[in-house]
Amino acid sequence: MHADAGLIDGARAGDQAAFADLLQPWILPAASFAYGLLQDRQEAEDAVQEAALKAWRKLRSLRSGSPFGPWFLGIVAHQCGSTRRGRWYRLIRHPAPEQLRAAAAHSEPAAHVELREAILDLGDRQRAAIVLHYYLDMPVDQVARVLGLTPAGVKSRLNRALKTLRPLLAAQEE
Amino acid sequence: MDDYDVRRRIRRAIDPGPGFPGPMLWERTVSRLDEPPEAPRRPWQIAVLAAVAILAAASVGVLLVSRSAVDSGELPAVARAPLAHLPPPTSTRPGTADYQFVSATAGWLVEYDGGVAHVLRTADGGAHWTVAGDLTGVDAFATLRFFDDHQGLVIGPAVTISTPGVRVYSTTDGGVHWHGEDAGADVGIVRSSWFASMAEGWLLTSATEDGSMSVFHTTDGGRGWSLLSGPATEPLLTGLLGQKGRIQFATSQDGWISTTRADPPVQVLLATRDGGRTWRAVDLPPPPGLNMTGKVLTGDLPMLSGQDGLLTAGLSSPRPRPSSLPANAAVGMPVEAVYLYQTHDGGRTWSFLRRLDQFGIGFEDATHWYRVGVTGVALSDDAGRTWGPVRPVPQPRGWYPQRTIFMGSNGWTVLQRPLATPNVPNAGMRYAVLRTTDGGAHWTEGELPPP
Repeated sequence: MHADAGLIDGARAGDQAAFADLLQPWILPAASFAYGLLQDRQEAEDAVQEAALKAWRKLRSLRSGSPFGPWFLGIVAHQCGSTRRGRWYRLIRHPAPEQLRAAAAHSEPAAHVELREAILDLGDRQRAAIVLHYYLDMPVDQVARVLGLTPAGVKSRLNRALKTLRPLLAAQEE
Repeated sequence: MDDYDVRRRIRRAIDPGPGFPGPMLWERTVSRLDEPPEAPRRPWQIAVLAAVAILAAASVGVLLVSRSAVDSGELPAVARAPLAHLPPPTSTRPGTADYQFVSATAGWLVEYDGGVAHVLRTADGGAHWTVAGDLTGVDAFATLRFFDDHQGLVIGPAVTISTPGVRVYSTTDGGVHWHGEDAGADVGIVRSSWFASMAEGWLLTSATEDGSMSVFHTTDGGRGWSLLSGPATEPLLTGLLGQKGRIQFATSQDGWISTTRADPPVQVLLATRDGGRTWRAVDLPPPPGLNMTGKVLTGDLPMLSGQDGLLTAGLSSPRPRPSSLPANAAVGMPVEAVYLYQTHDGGRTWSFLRRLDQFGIGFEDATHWYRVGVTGVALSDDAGRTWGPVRPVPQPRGWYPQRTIFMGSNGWTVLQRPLATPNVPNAGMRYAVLRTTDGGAHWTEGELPPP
């Protein structure tokens, strides 16, 4: 039995404090994950909060014996996907690439901005795999658990994503 | 380009930089758990839920009646009391605040807002506050230590939280005049401080982020500091998470350091009996009947009043930090259970008392204890044998209780609110002070001076 089991039982029984304790070690990884997917601080924090509320309300759907963290990050990934697909996000929050470049030009190299845009342009699962594996340093088998894929499926998505990103990765200044 | 390069370049491209996430994301998230789901439920669902709720309430009622009839001092269960969403406070100031009450009427508060520590005081139990000093060059990690309504200290890292050096401000006339003492960078970066009197104090410092800590001592109110122990003399002060550590003394000889080991990431409680020169790990007796194979008991700083005191201890299974967590993730160890220990000899020996639920526990003296949780507070005036009702701490939407303390039936809490706009996610904080004089049944706002 893993260390979360007692807290999960308590939270399933309606204990908010138990859920709060379950959530605490994952709030920062979740925020980093959400930011990696959305590249917007406010949107990322909102997504984490919404995901946490969904996790609280749907805790019974967490399979017995499964750890809380990867399951929660999976909900964060779905929430970020919904946010990105939202009309409001597309029309108002996502600046045009030209504006993005202009705004960022003063503070960071263009290669960083282009790589970030390319990551944002990846498909949902490719982008999530890249962020989890290369940004949160999560092993492939854990990435698979978060995204509901097989490890081979994760490796395939990572490879395809890297193939897309490689020219921009190579262009980054040292 | 190898895997390391890919990782480094992706990290550089998508890292949010400092200040993310905004303050108290976890607290803000937890405070929303009571929010109703967005989609309304269908009538048949409501009927089923209502029936279940009635049955559950009836069951809880039966349990409470039977429990109260045989109550043997168990701590109150986590309350299901709803958070009280009230109108936002009207008397607020910018910044964050820490506070201390030296009696039911006399209290001190230190507010940090942009490099200046403003000291406020109250003489009527927190109903009204007045400015009692503007101290420059004391950072947000400063602490306050007051001994009565006239004498006290504000101790902090000089300039910023990452700048070596310490500045100690003292007053002996209730904040009319302040005297500042600066120590050089030799003390390192201040992580925690404790003063037993206006003259005698200790610092817990780290030189860099290398994970070692040192203890310094003053007997002249911070004018001069001498090194008592450090990595060169005490192996227990190495291999730590340098930025995490707190120090506290009960007498000139007996003190403790609570800190976190780097690998495996477990919290440790160290004790000294020679004023801070040598340290040993506090050895807590395991809870009766518990198999401790592969587990450790780790303690927080003790809460003491005279020779009596309490200590909360976590049961952990040390294991390597999960690779999925960023290095700066605020997680030290997986705590499987929390236990309560008591002392009657000033903290030299500890005996197991009972297991704790998710509530935190506060200790005023040998008989007056209080419990503070996410959803409320409860008081005991017989050393935890019986408890009053669990009462919610008011929480206007967007405001978060920070630290709740009680002295008898008088209690206080600081509400804080992170300020954010769509374009400026971290626009600082505001705070307000709430007080109760009837054990938490009613709370009123303290009147702060205008900013």
